[in-house]
Amino acid sequence: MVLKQIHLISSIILLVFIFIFLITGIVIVNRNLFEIPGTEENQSKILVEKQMTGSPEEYSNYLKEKFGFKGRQFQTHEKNGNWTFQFNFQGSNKRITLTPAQDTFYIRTSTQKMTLLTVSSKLHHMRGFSGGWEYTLWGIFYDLTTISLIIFAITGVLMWFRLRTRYTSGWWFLASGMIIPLIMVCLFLFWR
Amino acid sequence: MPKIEDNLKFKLAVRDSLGLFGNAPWWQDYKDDQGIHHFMITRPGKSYWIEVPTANNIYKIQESRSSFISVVMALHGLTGGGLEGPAFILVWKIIAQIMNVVFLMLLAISVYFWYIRSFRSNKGWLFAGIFAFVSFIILAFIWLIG
Repeated sequence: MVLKQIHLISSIILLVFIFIFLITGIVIVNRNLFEIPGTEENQSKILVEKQMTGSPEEYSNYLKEKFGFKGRQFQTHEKNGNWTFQFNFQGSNKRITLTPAQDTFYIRTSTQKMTLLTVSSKLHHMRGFSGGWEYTLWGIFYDLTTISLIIFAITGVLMWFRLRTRYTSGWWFLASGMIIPLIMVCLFLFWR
Repeated sequence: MPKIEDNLKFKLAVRDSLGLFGNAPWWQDYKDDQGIHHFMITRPGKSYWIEVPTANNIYKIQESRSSFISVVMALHGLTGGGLEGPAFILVWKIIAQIMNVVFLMLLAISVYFWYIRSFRSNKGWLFAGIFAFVSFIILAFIWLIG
């Protein structure tokens, strides 16, 4: 009874997220059926009004407000001393590069038309905890779903195992689920 | 090798003529201080650094193998269709698609069982409702407001 409860609860947790990932996954796998829109790029150069004195996160928020950008924020400090601030939102990527002298912003905007394929791809690949509270929450739900997925599989197998004498065909499904991926891995490892 | 101007097409032609399969990532491509062109062909399980000859037609290939676990992890991305090659890759893509549908049905059946067995219990509905609602709210927020 407890196993059944855990199995059902994990399936309920999984339902929405896995539904999103399965549907978007099917679209991505069949990408040949969809048109892949091109990307438009623009570049500009602007003089810096306020230099970065505090943390990169604070400066990123300042840039977001100053330029009216939206979306997920990333900051990276490159080997050449440049700081880059990125803002990703609905098919657009805005990248601001701040030189070590902190006198010029180089802004590169790339925009891709939103289609079913691009939306699916972005949803399917959205992961990680950084970039704002909503992305952190998404990451937590993502992990919770992954844990539920493992629990769902284990409890499913355990429930079947208790009734294995009645459902002997389960052995075939269990074996094929393990052997097919194993064969694939071996093929990749040993293929020329 | 015939002369090919486009770098990617050239790399893929070298790959095919060597009987290999895999992708040619643009960031794994450089010319050393002697002007010799090096590039990588990579796939789950193996990577090859290829040195393009300047005079003759003999390509030097350095093969490196990746671990078992990295191939296991690569199987997920492989279903996305990013790699062309031997027939077993296509077989894997087809299996993965079938598994997608099977898993969707599995979830639907599980929830259906839950629905018919605990129809009078509000706790389950509340739990499922909250989880679904919060998931969609986050998604909508990310998508519309950012």
